[in-house]
Amino acid sequence: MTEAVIRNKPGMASVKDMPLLQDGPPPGGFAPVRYARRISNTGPSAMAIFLTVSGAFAWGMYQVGQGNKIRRALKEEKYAARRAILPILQAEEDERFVSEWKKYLEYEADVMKDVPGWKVGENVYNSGRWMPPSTGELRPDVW
Amino acid sequence: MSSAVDATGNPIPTSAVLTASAKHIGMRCMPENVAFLKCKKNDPNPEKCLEKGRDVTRCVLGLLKDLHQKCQKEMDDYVGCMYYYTNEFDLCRKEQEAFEKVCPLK
Repeated sequence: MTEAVIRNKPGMASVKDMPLLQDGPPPGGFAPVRYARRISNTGPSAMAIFLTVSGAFAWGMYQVGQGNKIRRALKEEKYAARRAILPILQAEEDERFVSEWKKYLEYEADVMKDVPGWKVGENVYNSGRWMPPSTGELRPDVW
Repeated sequence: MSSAVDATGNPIPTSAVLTASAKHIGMRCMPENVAFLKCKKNDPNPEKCLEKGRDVTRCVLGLLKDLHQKCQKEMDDYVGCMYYYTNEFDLCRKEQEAFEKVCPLK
């Protein structure tokens, strides 16, 4: 009913004679639409890009080398300090070890005094070199 | 520990004190250090190198006492900084420069 009321043409015989009501282009058509590509050919050339990138890379690697030099100098400073204080630390440890070793030898002599044929001094290897005592503990008093 | 000296005013050779004066030790006690290390390389037995070890200890402790007497405040600051940053040289540059200005390395 409503279509006939809206699209009414006075004097129409049946519904089939109603005029068309369509959505269409405006008179004269639409304006033309550009769909062609417009990618400009300006900008840096391939060689320019390559040179810039490799220049940045070379400068970066140079900075890496400079940084490594600085870090190596810092590490050298630390190692030189350790080398300088190594002898006094070793000397103090030697003194402590010798007094502990003497006490241990006295204890050994006391324990083994009734064992015949026990050479109460040292009972270590035959190579002639000095080896640290192998009790499994470095500093029993610290443990 | 918060102080670099013991009751009688001698610097205690803790790690902070030793690393703070490491450059001085390396420069001024080098003959004793080298002699001790050569002795150790020859024979690692502690009883054989006791005398040279005593030379090293005497030199280093005397040097520490000397440094502490000459530039007490700078050395205490530097040792405190070393103790705080656990012997990291790069974090104590300011105190190191002040210390080496008053007690130069020669």
